[in-house]
Amino acid sequence: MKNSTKLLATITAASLALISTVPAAAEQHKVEPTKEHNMSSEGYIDANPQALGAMFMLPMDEEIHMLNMIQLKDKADYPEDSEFAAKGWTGAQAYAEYRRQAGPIVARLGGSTHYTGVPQLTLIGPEQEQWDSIFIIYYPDVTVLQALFEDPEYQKHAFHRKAGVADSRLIRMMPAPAPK
Amino acid sequence: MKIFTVVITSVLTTSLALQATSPANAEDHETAPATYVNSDAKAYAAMQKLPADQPLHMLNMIRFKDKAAYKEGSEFAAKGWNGQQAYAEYSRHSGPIANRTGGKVAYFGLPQLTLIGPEHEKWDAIFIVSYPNLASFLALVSDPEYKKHAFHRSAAVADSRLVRMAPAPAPN
Repeated sequence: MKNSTKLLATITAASLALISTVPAAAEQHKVEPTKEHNMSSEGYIDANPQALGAMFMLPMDEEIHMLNMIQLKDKADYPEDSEFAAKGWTGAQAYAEYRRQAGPIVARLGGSTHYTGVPQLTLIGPEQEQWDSIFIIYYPDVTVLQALFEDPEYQKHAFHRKAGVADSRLIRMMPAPAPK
Repeated sequence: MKIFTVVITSVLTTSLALQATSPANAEDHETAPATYVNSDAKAYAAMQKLPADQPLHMLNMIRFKDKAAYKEGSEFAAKGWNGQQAYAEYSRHSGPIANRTGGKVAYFGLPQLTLIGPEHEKWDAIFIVSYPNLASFLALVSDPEYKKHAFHRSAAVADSRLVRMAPAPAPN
């Protein structure tokens, strides 16, 4: 239990987390979104702290699959003074940079890509929910995910994710055999 | 292309499709978030622009109803099933038909927690079914036996997503 508490503290502090937990758009169904906030705050980009807290109720020592669903921005959104702002990258380029940096760290810690799909069309779901990238990452247990979020190199490069992603989902799953 | 159009048309009339193309409660933001059970007619039309001869991976995300919603008077209404039981009944019928038309379960996961996403998006089952080509998928959803039993899915599902993907090799 003590470990769990430590985990919460670290995860909550991690760079992946938590500028805002509620997307502006969710509060604004009937209001025109203001332009300045439009690009960065319509979707779900960062982890929900309540959900991170709820991770404690889940087993710490079991294999996990993290389903990632990513919708990219047309144009990467770096802070104005960032050296990357001038590059004129697309969201796809920024996200590729994130994965280029994060990939080896994930691998070093024992994680691996379990599945990659190329989304083409949402047949059931909100019309605007059109994903650019869907993949599943395997981690031997949740402490590895914790180690990733804590990793200084990872934290250093996580801003590429934020610059590239318009909307996302991250779902913890337990790998399971298909039912008969 | 002609055959394809015919197939699409027949799919549009299947029971899988289309009681409503927009969520039933879309007008009702204040009381409940929108949920999606049936396929979107526009999306089916958009499928025509995608390759028909390549393998498909269909990502399914399902949240079950607490209590299965069968029509009153249906022989199943009296069973007192939960959504999961109704979905199991759907799978029991649709699984062998999918296998016959070439579908295979490529992945199955048990969702535990949504870390990024709307709070109301909570899934009970996430799985990927592969089909060798579009015809294989359409053969499933237009199958008369499939259509006969598809009402179990509607009775079972509170919210769902169905995303067509192309399989891709994992990057190292």
